[in-house]
Amino acid sequence: MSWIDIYLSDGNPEGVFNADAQKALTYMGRWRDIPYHWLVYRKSDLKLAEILAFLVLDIVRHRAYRRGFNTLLETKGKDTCE
Amino acid sequence: MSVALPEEIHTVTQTNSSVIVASRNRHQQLEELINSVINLDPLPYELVIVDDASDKPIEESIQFKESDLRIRIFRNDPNQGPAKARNTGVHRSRGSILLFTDDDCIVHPQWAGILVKRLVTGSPDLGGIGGKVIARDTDIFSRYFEFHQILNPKPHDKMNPKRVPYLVTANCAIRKDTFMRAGGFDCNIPIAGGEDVALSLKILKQQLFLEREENAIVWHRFKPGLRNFHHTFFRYGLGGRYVVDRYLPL
Repeated sequence: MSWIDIYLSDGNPEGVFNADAQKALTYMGRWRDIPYHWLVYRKSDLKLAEILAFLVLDIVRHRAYRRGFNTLLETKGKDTCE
Repeated sequence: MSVALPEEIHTVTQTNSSVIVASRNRHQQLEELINSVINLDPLPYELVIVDDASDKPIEESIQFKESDLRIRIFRNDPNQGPAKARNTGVHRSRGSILLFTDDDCIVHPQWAGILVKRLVTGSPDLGGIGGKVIARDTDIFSRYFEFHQILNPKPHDKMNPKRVPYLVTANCAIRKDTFMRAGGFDCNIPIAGGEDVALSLKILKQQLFLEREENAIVWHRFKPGLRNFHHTFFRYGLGGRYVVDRYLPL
């Protein structure tokens, strides 16, 4: 699931993130979401080592995403179009 | 997997479709993409490559195989980002159907024909078609992208299960007039992240819809390594914030 899926689909961000879609976007990847991810991986046919690796990647992904999401606020307004 | 394509679709693809690719310093991967485009059946009218200020110019660095495919290369210098590069490609293109893919992808032999068929036979309100993106490699990063279907937008309208909320530049087709009416890619986004979603939202604002075509396949190479993985999602976050602030709510 990507940020835009959450935002546009209004699928079930409440169920996953306990927030509306816009809010969910600002704090994707909280520690308390890890058990949810674990459950999703466990229900799939992933091996334990793969599940652990995926959980690490989840953390990296969401930390990176949040850093990017907050960084643009500082650089916003630059106009690089001709 | 092979899809029957009527003769009319062969003709439209060969005379009216342009494949647009922006590239920067990925010559080997670009060469693999070009080889896969050369093998398309039907061939598109042309392949337009925009060199986004690669250190070594693409035109001088790649050995082009002899083929019937028209390959046209343009160069943006200095580097202006993938959004601007793709806009350059579109402005230089001659086809009325635009097929986008990335320089780190390779395409299925019927990719162009299948996308063209969907656009040509689809409703006039169809703003664009997104194909399926599959990971090329089997490392843990590729498997993660594949598991989460990061580049495959999920249908979100239960009444219209083929509709998707956005397209990705790795694999999509848009009519040129739709693209121009939308104003093209937002070149305020200088990175690879969010520019395709921004364009999609501008298309949706025209009261058009976007659909998915599972049979139009590209294989995408995801850069391995934790640093690259981090950088990818950092870019998505940057682009995501810009899109949220500028384009949402619709």
